[in-house]
Amino acid sequence: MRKYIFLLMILVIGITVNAQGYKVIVNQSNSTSTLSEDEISKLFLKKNTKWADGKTVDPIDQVASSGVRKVFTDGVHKKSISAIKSYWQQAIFAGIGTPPLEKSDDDEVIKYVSQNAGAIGYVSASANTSGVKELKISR
Amino acid sequence: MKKKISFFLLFLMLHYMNSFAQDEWKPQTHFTGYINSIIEYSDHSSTSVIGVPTVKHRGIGLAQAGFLATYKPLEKLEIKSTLVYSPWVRSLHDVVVETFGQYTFNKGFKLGAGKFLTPLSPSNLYYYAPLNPSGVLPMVVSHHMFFPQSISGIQIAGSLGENLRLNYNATYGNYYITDHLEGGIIGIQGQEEIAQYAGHYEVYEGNIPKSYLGGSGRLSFDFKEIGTLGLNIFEGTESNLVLLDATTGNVSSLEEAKQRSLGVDLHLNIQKFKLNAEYWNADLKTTKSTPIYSLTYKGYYTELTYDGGAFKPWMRYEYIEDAKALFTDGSLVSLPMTTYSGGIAFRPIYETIFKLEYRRIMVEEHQKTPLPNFKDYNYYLFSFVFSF
Repeated sequence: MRKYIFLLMILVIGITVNAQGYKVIVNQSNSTSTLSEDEISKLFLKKNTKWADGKTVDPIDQVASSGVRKVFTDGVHKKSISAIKSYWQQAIFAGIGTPPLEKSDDDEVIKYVSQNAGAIGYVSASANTSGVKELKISR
Repeated sequence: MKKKISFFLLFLMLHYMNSFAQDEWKPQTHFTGYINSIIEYSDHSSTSVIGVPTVKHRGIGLAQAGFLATYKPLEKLEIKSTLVYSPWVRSLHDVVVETFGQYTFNKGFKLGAGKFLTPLSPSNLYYYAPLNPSGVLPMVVSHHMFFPQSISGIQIAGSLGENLRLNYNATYGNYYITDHLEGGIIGIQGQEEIAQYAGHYEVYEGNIPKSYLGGSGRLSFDFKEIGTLGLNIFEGTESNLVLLDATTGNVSSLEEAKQRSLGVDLHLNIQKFKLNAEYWNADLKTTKSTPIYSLTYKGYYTELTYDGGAFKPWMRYEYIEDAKALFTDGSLVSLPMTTYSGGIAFRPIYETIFKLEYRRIMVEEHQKTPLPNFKDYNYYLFSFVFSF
């Protein structure tokens, strides 16, 4: 019986971790503390380009092969990575915009966000985010 | 005194531009491109209306290849170039579809110089193969009778507002008339009437097109994420019009003419459905001939696409009346067409798209006097697009 309860706990914990397998981070000087998934999506798609204090939003993506990008893209954009890449391809061809810069791992994202006032990025749920500010995500 | 004022203005301009450049800006470069290979088949009538050599029925091969590069040395400055090859390009002019530099002073004012895709119908800006579920462009765009594909000159553009946004764009400069430029392998795409009939064609004459002067303007309104309404104008201050000899049917003369085209386009996003619709009208009038000759073109389409993720089924209805023969005695023969199309695009991964589609081109219902060699026909297309 104990074995089954233990397995059930692992399953529940696993599902919870998967549901929120990322943290959204901004520069410590940023006064924003909470954003909805829809607002975050608009910032990463460059549909909203200014923070409340007037700073330019500087979104930072992770490379397409990273696991956290898939979790973030599924959770925030509600689309596949392929669909988001198609969106940016269309924007580039039509001259509307260019995609966010891509960083290869959590550490690089944290470093960039800590050095740029308008930056916003996402990292794995397990990443150490000291030096940057973690946003609360409202649903 | 004049010199001092000039220096002062130059200083102000440099200071203004510099104040926009962020210290942390790192130059950005983007490359993207595609290769579009197709298999196509058509059962069109084997003899053309006016006896010019007929096109083939089957084709397989490379229909288009495009390469785009953008470079942003400053946050506000973008340099962009797109080259597109197809078996039907006649010169380097056709390959370089856009190449320009653009400086963004602010969201409401951008200034660019170079060669631009004519920013009127969004279908013209989005004409690249990976961006469309259909492998065939709407005829109001591919026929190039309402506006040229590109204009070389200067452009100002901008947008105002957030949720309800007003966008404007004005472009002025030289353009090359392309007229019903064929696409695909067998040459039916863009020239659905099979044989070039008449109009202001230089292509018909086999000439390398001359450069003409003209401009375009567009005002569009974005309603949040719901849709866009666009109002368009193209004014060709120097164009031409072919007159056919009333007795022989051969080309009689090439007359100088002016063109004005007006268009409206609507784009709606309703849940997973996307509706595109455009209506265009053009008036072409000779400026120096006696008597004055004139022609009117008309075309519209409506297209519905369902976004099913990797799968995108779509259907389209089109009407166009832009193939007209004008004779020296003032008589006119017109060749209007209706097409019904449907298909599906499948994009299993970002880099690969498969498209399958069918078109029915209807001409007989519009003929007052039946043309024996010009019948309704079918067109089938299978397309693979690789992009990066």
